[in-house]
Amino acid sequence: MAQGRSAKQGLLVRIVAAAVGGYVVAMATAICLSYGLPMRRADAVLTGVLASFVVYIAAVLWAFAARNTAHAWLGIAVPAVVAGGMAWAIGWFGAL
Amino acid sequence: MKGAFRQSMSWLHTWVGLLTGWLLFFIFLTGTAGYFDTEIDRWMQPERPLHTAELPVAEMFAIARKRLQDVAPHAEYWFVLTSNRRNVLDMRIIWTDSTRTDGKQNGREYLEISSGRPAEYRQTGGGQLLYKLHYQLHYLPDAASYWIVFLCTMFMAVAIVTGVIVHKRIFRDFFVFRPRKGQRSWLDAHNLLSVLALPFHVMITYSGLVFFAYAYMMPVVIANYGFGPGNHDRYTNELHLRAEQPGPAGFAATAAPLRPMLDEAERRWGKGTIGQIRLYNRGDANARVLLKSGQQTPARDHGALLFDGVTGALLKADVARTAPRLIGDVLLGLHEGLFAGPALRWIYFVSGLLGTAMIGAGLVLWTTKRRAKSGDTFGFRLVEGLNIGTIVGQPVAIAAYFWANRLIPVGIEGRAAWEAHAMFIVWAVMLLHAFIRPASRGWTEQLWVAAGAFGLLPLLNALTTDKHLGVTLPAGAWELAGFDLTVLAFGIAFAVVAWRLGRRHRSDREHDQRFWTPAYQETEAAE
Amino acid sequence: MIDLAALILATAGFAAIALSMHRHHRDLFGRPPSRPRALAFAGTGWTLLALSFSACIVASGWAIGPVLWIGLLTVAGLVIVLALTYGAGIVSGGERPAPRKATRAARGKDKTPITHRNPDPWLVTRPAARPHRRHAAGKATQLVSQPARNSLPIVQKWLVC
Repeated sequence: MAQGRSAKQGLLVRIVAAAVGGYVVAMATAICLSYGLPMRRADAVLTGVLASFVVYIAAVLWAFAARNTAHAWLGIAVPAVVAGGMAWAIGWFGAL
Repeated sequence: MKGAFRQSMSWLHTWVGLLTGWLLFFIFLTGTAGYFDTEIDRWMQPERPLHTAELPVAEMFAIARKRLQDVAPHAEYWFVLTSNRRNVLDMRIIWTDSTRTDGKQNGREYLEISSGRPAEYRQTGGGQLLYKLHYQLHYLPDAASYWIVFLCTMFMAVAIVTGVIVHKRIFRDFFVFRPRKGQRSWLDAHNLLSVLALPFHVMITYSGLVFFAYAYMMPVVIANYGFGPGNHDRYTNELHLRAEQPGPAGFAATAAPLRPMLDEAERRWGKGTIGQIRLYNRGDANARVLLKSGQQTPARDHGALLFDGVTGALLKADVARTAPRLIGDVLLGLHEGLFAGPALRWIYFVSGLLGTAMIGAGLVLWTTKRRAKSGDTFGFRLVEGLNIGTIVGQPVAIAAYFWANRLIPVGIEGRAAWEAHAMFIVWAVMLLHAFIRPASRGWTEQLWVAAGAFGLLPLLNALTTDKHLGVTLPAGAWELAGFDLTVLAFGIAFAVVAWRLGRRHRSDREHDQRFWTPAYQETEAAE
Repeated sequence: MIDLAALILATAGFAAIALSMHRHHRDLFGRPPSRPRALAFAGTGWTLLALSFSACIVASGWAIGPVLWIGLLTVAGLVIVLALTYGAGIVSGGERPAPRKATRAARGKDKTPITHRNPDPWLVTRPAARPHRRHAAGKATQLVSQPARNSLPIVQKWLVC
């Protein structure tokens, strides 16, 4: 890895993206699945949680494989926003 | 592009392995021992009879009921765990008696089948303690341990995925092992140990994550069940289709005979398969009897029958599990391996050992790669010392746990805690030794200690108890004999490695003495 | 008994698959396999593995059988790896690990003391060179930081099984 302060900062950014961002996108996906899957609520929650581990691991890998830190954050934030948005929409429509 | 991806995954693989490797080694080692937890329990309580009696369920319940009537005749809740399977050594009874005022509303006892009285074997953590170490650690509050082990499990999952990505020749090199080639051999070993048991490693790690899902999944539970207290309970009740059990009605009624209920359960599940008998609201009009199957499948135990305690009518039989629940249960069931017969149990044990060795090989590989360039840095010395003290030191510590079990006198207060203290004290000593001694000597010395610690255990057993190989082999008590034979095999294996390492070490020192003369020293310096 | 049969089938299957591979066929027979031969070995191997799977299902049913099979594959794989590594030399004159004598002779050419080729960190009496000092220091330090080319740093060999 490159030496120097900016490289170390970049590494820190990636670590945070992986650890925190990964959790956020994993939970967003899980909630989205739990709302959207056509099964009993408890079953959908369980399915969402089981799937969320895969999402978390994928996010961690992405955070370190991405070309630069901007890509790292985008690749995690965009799916999180999309999944969260879908979950919110389903919840909002469901309440109607 | 491909190169940069592989490179970053390789970097990630190294770092997640290095940050948690030694703790993961501990988790794998104790977890692997846990596959023989009941056999270890048996060995650590040599007062037990050689063979466990097997009785029909109705007779076992009769013994339990007699004891329960002695200690808790007015209890409203009785629980009986039968012992006619590998995973349960003693019958267990639990009761709740709200009428008592002396603070002893709840009680539990382990019963000996032969006497019907509480078992009086030596107090010990047994194999259960060893197995629980792999997720509860020790000396830490449970919550802290669970988060630490959960973090390690996530790191392990990342390590497995990145490892598969980085291993370019996973099919071509499937059977390849090139010994005595230094770093090449360690890489081959690390790859082999990972790939040969890859399904096991993936299953163990992913199912390990599922075990910890309770706290991790809070946001999803909140999103679906709200913020209030009991939201998680509502989720689990919904998942398991649990209905509320009615409380006591308040007026007495005669209980229906239990025998027909037991017969019905055995008719559905097979003879001798009833694992639990629970009596709710005893003597009341709302009495209930719950029978649970003791059989284990990879989808964990299944089968529960709920009877009306007064009429004897079947109220509820098992409801078929939904697919997500089945998948979750299968993951957890495969992890625990409670369903495994003897052959499969040994395969679980070997796979666990392969996983433990995989982590050890990875840690050693790290040092072989970097010895030339940074062998003198603080970081390198730290890693190497931790390697020796963990890869050999931890097994020695576990052997010390068994030595303590035989040497600490029976009846001493807190002997079970001291057995565990002995294990950690010995581990600390091994770590200290690993940092004091030069690396090469550290390896061989600790390996010889391990050879003695394991290999002499059967002898210690013979000197301190009457359940040694001379007795257990002729009697066919295979669980006990198996323990002695296994530790003996480990001792021999450690001795072989120690001897070969020591021999190579000696020949290298001779080489040094032959060439490193003062005259030679001068010519070198002059160049 | 059926468990044992399943294990033997799995081991034989892995043996055949290994022999369909370039390297292992060469170790045993002295030459790489021709394409039809490789296909034959591979086909036989996979068939034996499938038979092993059926044996596991017969032995333990559909719930436990697949688990048993995957476990047996681990054991069978281990057996074949050990057989190929240590057995190939016994069976035929295939590729063997370098005999001890040759290594000694190779080492003999390089008279740098082992402890100074790769300083044992805890026995160091003179400071070992760090990479960034390589250019500043003289040749003596260079000997210390760079391992000899002909043979492996001996400290690594201590750790080899």
